[in-house]
Amino acid sequence: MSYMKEFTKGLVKENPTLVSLLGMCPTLAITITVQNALGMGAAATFVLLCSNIAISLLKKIIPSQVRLPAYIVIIAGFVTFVGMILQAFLPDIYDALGIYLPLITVNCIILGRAEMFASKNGVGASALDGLGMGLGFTLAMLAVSSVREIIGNGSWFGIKLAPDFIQPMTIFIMPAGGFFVLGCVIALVNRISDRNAPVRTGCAACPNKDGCAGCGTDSDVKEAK
Amino acid sequence: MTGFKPALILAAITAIVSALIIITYDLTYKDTSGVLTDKQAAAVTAIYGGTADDYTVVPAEKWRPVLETAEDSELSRVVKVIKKNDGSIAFEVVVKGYKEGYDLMVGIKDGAVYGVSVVSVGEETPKLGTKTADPSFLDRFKGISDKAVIVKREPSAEGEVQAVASATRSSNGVAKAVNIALGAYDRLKDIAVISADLIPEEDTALATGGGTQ
Repeated sequence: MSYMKEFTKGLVKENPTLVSLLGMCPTLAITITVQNALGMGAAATFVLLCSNIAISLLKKIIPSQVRLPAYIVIIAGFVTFVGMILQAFLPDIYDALGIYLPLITVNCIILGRAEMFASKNGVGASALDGLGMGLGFTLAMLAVSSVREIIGNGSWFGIKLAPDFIQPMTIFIMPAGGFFVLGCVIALVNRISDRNAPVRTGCAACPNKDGCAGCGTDSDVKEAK
Repeated sequence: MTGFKPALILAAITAIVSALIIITYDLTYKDTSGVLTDKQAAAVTAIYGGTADDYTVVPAEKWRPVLETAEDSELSRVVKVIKKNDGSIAFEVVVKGYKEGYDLMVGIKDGAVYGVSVVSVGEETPKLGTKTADPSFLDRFKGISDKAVIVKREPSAEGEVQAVASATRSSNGVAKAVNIALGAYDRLKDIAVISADLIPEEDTALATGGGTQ
C-alpha cells in the first residue's frame, strides 16, 4: 500500500468520526465554537501522531497480553505532556479545552488506531496514518462546529456574522443541536461519497475490519443479527 | 519466570513514561500561589483600576487559618486575597456555576460589593453560562452588602439580582462567589492584614532584619 494512501484514507474514506463513528464524545461536546474544535483537533492530532510512532516502534517489545494497558500508559503520557506544555505556553487554549484535554487519553480514535494500525505497521506508515486520522477528526469537528456556531451563535471563528436583531438559535449550541448537526453531516458525507447501506452487514463492508480480525468470524456476526 | 515478563515490561514502560512526565513537569511548572498572574491582575484592575504594580497578594498563612476555622466550609473556596496599595481588598473565589471551576474576583469595600470581574470562566457553557461574565450582569451586584439572591423576575428587594436568561446556574455561581467574598470579608476585616496596615508585614520584617545584620 502506498504511503500516500495511508495518509488520505483518514480524511474521507475511513474518516474516524464520520465513517467509523469513533470519538463521538469530544465531537459532540467541544464543537460549540470553531476555535475549540481546532484546538481539540490539533491536540488530538499531535497525540495521535506521537502515540502511533511510539507504539509502532515498541510493537515488538510489548507483549500481547498487556498491550492495551501499555498503549493507554503511552497515550496518557503524551496527553499529560501536551497538557503541561499548553498550560505553560498557551494558557488560553488550555482553559478553553478544559476537561476535554485530559480526556484525549480515552479518545477511542487514538486507542483504535494504536490497536488497529500502529501495532501492525511500520513507523512511516503509522505516522502518516496518525496524521491523516487526526486531520480527518479535525475536519469533521470543523464541519460540525461551523454549522453550530453560525446558526447557534451568529458567528464563525469568533467573527460576528449575523446582525444583532437576528436572535441566534441557541438550541444548536446545546447538546440536542450537536446530535442533530452531526447526523446531518454524516448523512451529507455518505451522500457525497455515494455510500449506500450494505445489503448484508458483514465484515467486508466494515471500515474497522482490520482491527477485529480474529475476534469473530463473518458467520458469528450474521448469527448475532 | 516467563509468566512475569509481560508484567515487568508494562512496569518498565510505566516507569519510563512517569520519569519523562516528571521531567516535563519540572521544566514547565510555575508556582503562582504567591504572585499575581496576568489574568488575576486583569480581573482586579477591572474592579479597582490602576496597574498590576499597585496590587500585592496577601500571604495565604495570614488569612487561610481564619477562614478554615469558620463553620461555613464554603469559605475555603477563597483561593487568593489581593490588596491594592490604597487598602482596597479583592477576593478570588472559585465556585461551582454550571460546573466546578468558575473563577471570579470580588472587590469588597466598606463591607459592600465594589465590583465583580471574571478571572476564568472555567467550563461554563460557551455563549450561555459565559454570558454571566458580561460586565452588564456583574455590575448588578455592586453595592450589595448583606446577601446576593438570584431571582428570575425583576428584582424587588434589596440584594436581589435578576439571573441571565438560560444561565441560571452560572448566575447562581456568581452570587455564591459574591456571598463567599462578603463572608470572608466579614471574618477578616478585624485582622491587621485587611484593615489599616498598608505595608505587608514581610516588607517591614525584611527591612528590620536587614537593619540588624
